[in-house]
Amino acid sequence: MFRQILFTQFRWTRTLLLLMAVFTFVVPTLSWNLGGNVFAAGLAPIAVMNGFSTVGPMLVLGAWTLGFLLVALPWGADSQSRHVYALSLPIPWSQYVAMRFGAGAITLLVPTLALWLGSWLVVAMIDMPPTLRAYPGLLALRFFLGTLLAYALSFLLQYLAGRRAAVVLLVLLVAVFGLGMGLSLANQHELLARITLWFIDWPGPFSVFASEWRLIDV
Amino acid sequence: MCESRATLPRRVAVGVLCIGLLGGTSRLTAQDSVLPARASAAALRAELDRAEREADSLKERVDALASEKEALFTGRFEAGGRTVRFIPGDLTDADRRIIEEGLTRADSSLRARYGDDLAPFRDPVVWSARSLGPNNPRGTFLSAHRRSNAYWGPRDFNMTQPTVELVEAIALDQAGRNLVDRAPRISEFTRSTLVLNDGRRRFARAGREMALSYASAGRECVAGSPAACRAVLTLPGADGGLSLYFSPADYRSVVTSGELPPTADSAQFAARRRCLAGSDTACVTAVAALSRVPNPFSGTLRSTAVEVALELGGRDAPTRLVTTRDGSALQILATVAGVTEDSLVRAWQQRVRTAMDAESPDAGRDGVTVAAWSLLILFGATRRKP
Repeated sequence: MFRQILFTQFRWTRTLLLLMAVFTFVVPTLSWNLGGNVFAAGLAPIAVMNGFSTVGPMLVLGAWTLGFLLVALPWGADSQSRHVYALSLPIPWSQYVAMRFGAGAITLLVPTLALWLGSWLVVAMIDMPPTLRAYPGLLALRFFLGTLLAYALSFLLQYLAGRRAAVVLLVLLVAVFGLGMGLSLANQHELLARITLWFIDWPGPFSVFASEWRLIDV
Repeated sequence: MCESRATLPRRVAVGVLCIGLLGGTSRLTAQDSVLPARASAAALRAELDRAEREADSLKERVDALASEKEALFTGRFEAGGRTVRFIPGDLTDADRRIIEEGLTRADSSLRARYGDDLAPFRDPVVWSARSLGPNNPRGTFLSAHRRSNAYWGPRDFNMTQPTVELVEAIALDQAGRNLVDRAPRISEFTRSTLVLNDGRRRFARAGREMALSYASAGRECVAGSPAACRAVLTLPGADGGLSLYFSPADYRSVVTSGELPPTADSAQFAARRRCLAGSDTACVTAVAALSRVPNPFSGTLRSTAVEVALELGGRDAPTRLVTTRDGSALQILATVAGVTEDSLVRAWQQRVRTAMDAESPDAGRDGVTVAAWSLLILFGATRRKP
């Protein structure tokens, strides 16, 4: 049954996966062209590092976009049939949701592999200073983890809020923004900093995004 | 006015104006309109005298206000061998407790490492704590004022969110400065910096600075060359470190960050342009023309070698650091450590490498976190049926 769910997941999201795979494949090259712009020998290490400085932000943006859309597309297809297929299966709803989640998580490997390949390709084209090392595997792993978290959060929102997910998301965003503004205006910077750190410091949920997403490092 | 008694900066300013005025009048004398010009010069002099009197009065007012403010600091408390003064009612009890605990912790940290003789670290500064102001009553400035030195302004440490750790770090930072300020050769070597906390990260940062440096000595040191590490820990000679730190392959970066003298001629500018465009031979000419070659390594990087010397030297090391005056910085540090210069360099290189390895990127922790949060989230998502 899981194979069938995985198959439908691929079918419903194949265009998105293909587009994201292309995006992640070209991100390292694009970043190098934006920041470094030179495929030349004898570059200073700091110039090579700066050349890839936009890889991280681009991939974080891609991770959130992919995570969100990868939930929204299958949910949309399921909800068009009012979840009749899912509810008619001889398994509990929770098991179906877990399998749907697992199928989506597996599809995240497609853009991750594309990122890994694209990173290897661009690293092979650069004459790397000896004190620097490339981390294509680590970057791809971070991207996978970031996308998985974004996917999981979108999944939670979609499967708890259902059709009202967009409204709930908007309310949540407004609430977070309002809380930040309120605490700032009330001079509660310390509390605001503590709340923020709880989310982004290990083991907070967003700590993976606070890590350094670097393709090249010492 | 030009002979008036005044402070040095004002004398210079007045002198420049006088020269300008006299120069201006002499030029006018050569023309026909001598009398109007003299009248104009007299008016300008009168204006200048008035401005000078106003400046004097303003300075007196500022001095009086500063004295009044100083007189407000009547509160005192002792913590960690230091006296902190404050304005009663200005400092909250919570902030006072944080400052006391932070200073005490810093003192304990120094004692644990260097024994009870902390005289070399003791403050030639006056510590004062005051509120950041009415808009932020929780925040506090902790300031360090140098005693009997008019040209050393206070170092203000902004503590918008005061914590014990922050105060401890500030106190250790100041203790390190106090120590190196007593050893002129080492102060020059580290640019008055010696941070005594957050050890491993600073060593890792030192390694990172070398690995990313445009100077080949730094990169080769990280790659394992003790000779290159020795060069990094040596202050540059007359050529600004060109032969010490850089190889010809680095010259383009040196030219990018170096400065041509104000008197540089067109040939030197042309050599610089050709060098930046890719000509290696032009880089040799352009580098030779530079008036100043910036030192590629920071004082913070070199201060890690001082820390290694202090560690190797044991409890008397701080005293030896301030009493040893002869030799280069590296020789002094070797004496402090009680080892040869080569041994010190190798020990430092090893510490940097170990710290870099420990700080190298690792996604294992992130993997566990994301897996745990994802499972928790999945559990939540299965709770509701459509």
